[in-house]
Amino acid sequence: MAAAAEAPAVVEETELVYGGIATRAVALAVDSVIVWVALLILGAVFYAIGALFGGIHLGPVGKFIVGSAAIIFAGLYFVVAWTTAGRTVGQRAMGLRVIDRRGDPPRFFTAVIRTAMLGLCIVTCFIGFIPVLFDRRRRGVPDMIAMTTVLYVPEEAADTPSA
Amino acid sequence: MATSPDPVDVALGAAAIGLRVGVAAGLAVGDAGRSATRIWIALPGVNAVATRTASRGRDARVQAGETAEEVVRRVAASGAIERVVGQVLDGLDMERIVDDVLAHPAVQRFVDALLKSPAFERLLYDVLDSEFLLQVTNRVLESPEMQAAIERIASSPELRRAIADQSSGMAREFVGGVRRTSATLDDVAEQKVRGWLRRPKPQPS
Repeated sequence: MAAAAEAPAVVEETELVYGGIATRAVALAVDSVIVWVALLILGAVFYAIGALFGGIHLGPVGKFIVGSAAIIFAGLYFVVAWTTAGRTVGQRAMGLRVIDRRGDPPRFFTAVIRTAMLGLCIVTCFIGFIPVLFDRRRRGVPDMIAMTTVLYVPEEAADTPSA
Repeated sequence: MATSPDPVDVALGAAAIGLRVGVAAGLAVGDAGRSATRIWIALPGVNAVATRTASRGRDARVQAGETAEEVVRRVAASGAIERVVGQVLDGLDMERIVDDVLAHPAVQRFVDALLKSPAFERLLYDVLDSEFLLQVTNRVLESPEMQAAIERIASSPELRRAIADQSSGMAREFVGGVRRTSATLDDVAEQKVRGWLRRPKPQPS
């Protein structure tokens, strides 16, 4: 067990270590907190601006638009993070990196598909992540559809001062 | 059996006796001269001469005092005193002198005895428990100088850098701990599920 803690989850190739379900869950939790805090700040700013003009009163359509904007904002966070750095802030903290079939960070379209599948998995009570527990490359449904994998890169995480 | 005295001691004793006799004789001569002068100036006709002589003596004393003051003033104005004092201080190795004094066995013995002394210990406790010390401490802490010093220390880049380094080190340690724990959980969860599904973990190629 101690050895497993030191060198986790070597699956197939000796050099590639795939990110497991617990590590990915922690990274997703960190990213969720970041997105929620950003949305709260944005909401507070818009509320303060609206208060200058007599307050914001949203109807059903307005609420739908605001909700959609929040979902798009959250999705953009993941898409931008994966296409630019290959990792979100939470994945950076946990030493994870997302790569596509070529071993590069996902391209825009791939990142959009992966984000959409991630959202779908979250909505369906994370069922789409169950394959991570037994897939030989620890892939979930979003990885399988977007043809990406999540690697564990601890030495890069060690260089990171903080998340 | 009597031993013969040391010639050096004899010579020194003779010199000391001679010195004492000389001093006593000088004092006696001085007293005699003063008494003779008193008798002399009391004689008829001599008093006027003595008065004029005394007047000149007073003038000479005043003039001597003024001359002495002028000399001191000129010496002080010339900066000679500062130069001499500066040269003396430059010539002294104060650090070595202080080291020598502190390293002297007598000082060491004194300090040891002081530290072992119950009276000194009681004195220290009395001072520490005293209201006076509390008031002095409060006054020092509330003084503007202390506040300025605290503000200066608190805003110093070195202290901020040290705090930032410590904070980032703690954050890095925390993240490292979470990462190790989650990696262990990865393996445990995977092994459990693979055990249920009877799918062994692939061996590294």
